[in-house]
Amino acid sequence: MTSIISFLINGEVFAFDTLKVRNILEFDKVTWVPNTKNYLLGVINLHGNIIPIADLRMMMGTENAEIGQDTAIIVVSDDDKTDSLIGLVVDGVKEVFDLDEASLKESVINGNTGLVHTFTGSIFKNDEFIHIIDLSEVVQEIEK
Amino acid sequence: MIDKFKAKFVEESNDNVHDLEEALLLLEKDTGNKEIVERIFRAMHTLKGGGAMFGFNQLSEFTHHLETVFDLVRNNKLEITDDIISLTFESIDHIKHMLEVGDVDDEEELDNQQSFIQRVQRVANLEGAVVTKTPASKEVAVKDDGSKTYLIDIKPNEEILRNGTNPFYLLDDLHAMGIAKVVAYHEKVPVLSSFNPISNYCHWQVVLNTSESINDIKDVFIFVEDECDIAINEISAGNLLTSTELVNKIDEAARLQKPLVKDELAGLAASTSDSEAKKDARKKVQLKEHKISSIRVNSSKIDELVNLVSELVTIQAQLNLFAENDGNPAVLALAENIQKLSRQLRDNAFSISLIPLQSELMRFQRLVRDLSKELQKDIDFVIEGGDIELDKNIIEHLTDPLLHIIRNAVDHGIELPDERIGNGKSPKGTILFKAYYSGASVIVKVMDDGKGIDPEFIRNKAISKGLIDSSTELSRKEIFELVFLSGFSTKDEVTDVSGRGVGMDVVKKKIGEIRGEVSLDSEIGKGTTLTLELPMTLSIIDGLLVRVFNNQYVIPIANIEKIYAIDSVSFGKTFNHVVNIDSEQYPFIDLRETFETDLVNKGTEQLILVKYEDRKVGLLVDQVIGEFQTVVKPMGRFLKKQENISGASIMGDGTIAMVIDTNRLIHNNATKKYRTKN
Repeated sequence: MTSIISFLINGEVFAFDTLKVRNILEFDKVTWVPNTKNYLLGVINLHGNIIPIADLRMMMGTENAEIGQDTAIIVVSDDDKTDSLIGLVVDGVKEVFDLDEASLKESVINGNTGLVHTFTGSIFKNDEFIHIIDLSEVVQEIEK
Repeated sequence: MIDKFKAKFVEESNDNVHDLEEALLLLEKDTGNKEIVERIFRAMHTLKGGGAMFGFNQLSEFTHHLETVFDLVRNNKLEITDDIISLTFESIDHIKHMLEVGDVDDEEELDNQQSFIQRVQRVANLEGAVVTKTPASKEVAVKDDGSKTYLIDIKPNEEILRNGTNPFYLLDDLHAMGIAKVVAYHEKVPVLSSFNPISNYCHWQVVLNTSESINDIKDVFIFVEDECDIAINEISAGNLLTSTELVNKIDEAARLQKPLVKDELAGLAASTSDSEAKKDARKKVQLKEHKISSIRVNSSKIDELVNLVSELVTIQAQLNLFAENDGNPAVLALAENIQKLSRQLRDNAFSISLIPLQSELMRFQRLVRDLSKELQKDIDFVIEGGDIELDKNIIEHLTDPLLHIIRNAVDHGIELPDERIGNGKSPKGTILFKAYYSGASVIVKVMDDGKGIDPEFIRNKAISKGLIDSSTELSRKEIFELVFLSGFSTKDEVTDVSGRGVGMDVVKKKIGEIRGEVSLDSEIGKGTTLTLELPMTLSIIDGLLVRVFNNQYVIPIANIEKIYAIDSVSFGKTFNHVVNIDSEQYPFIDLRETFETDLVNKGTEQLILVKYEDRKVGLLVDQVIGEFQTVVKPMGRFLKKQENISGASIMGDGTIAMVIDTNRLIHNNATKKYRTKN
């Protein structure tokens, strides 16, 4: 049984494996870094470490994503090293729950516009679809 | 002064010895593991080189012999056996002893050492032969080696031979553990008519001197426990077999078939080895006292400490702000005290992990001096940038590679004075050691003005060593890279100084361990330059804090030449995009443009003139804020592509200022801009 954390991007619900998540922060001031990709908003100081921040909403194809009261940063790491910590900006964090793997369905992708194409799968819960994002693809995209 | 070096050498060597022991233990479990053999070999090599350098000549000589053994193992000419391992363990103890006492001229000690060397040589001479158990050597008279003498009673029952057990193998095993004297008792053997060839009638007593533990001795009997009565008794520390009295007693026992009694032998021991025991005890005390003077802490713990302290300082700044706004004098006083404490704590935490390069450079100076004397070369060792501070951990990793590099420069690089004159050079060679910051990296260069290396020579050598194919096309740079391959060494003969193939591959490996890079360039007749690029994860740099648009940036002060207010310079309407300062023209980079910001506040900018190689380049910023001492942190793997920024600093209030790598920035820009020589 894996537990996952769900969050909102542009009205839709997505999720990550909780084991990859290190921190959840309120969106605060981000220091912009010049000469980087558009969706890289900059860096923040997290417990004395410099953590880059990527706007996952922009990566998913959302245009003019705004910063609201619920906007949050989910700090993840795909290999458990400080060096590979990265903060991803989402519209809001929803909940953490145990994933019933039997109910996992293949995600149906039909020509999306963003940079994220790989999903572990989708589940239908409380009248909505939750798509589980494959973190490694996101990380590779940012590192490219 | 010399004592300081010696103490340092001893301290480091103790670590090396520790490493050696650890590796040896691993090897014992996995005798075929070449990596461990390499590790052992390197540790010995370092001990040897260091020993010769700091006047531990006997240590160096001894280690040399031991190293020979492992060189054979390394080259598959000798197989690792338990004997070699045991002997090496003993040798390690001996090395420890030598590190403690230094060179000695006490005859007894020297004899002791000679016999030890002979033993080691004997192993080395077994090259090629299938190594079986080394017979116990009778002439060896080791006294202070921590060995013990045991009296072992072996009384097999009559049935033992029926299981296929041959008691003689047990005796052989005991012989292999050290020096053994065996007395066989055969008084129970019946007359021939009633003699049963499958029954055992004998029993034995063995006086064994070994440094193995009593448990190891017990292990010998592990399969015959049920068929034998075994009694193992320690009778003395040290080698009692050197006592003629004991030998006589043993002979007598054999002649009279009257078993030895342990208490009698023990009494013998007390009378002969009293003084030695005292000596032993004294040595142990000295060892203990030595160990407390410094402790070694895992660097990750220090990193964590520094991180925590950084966080504390940040929070403390917030507290200060709050206290000032609050206006409560009690809170203010508290905040001030906490500020004082946290500042001290921060300084302390940083000072734990940072040391100036200078502290290590003295060793290199000494090395160059001694070595050039020995090789009859005349060499000037010039140091630039010795005040550069680096993480202690990095410096530690740096010492060995740098020793190798400098040794190489002295040994292979610089020519003999006559040769130099013949080549039209000054008879005195120069080795320049240069360190400087380049953004968040530290560059260390070792340049000699010696004979240089012929790329063609390297190529041929690599082909002959089978490292590359003779048809491989390689660029000049790639050829020099070959030097760092394992198994490549440009000098065939074995010298006391720079090794037998422990070469640049080790340097590369060591530097790689601290995420640094190493490269080599050379020109025939002009000299060789080795460049190390090192990260400075925790390094503090003196930086100039500037503002560009809404962001703060740090420019390393070491790179800065001068700062100008914008009205003192004129951007002439020139064709070549330069700025005129004091009747000189310089190229410049507008950081606001490079960083793709909106250009605001035009007219209030300041120009910072920085050094780049042999030129000067202006950087245009919005505002110079001031000088700061900052800790540079890495930006993580996701921002590695951003070459203009090499790291970031967390300011007192928790905000982030990015460190500009001016060298890269200018280099990247140089392709676009026109060059002007200053």
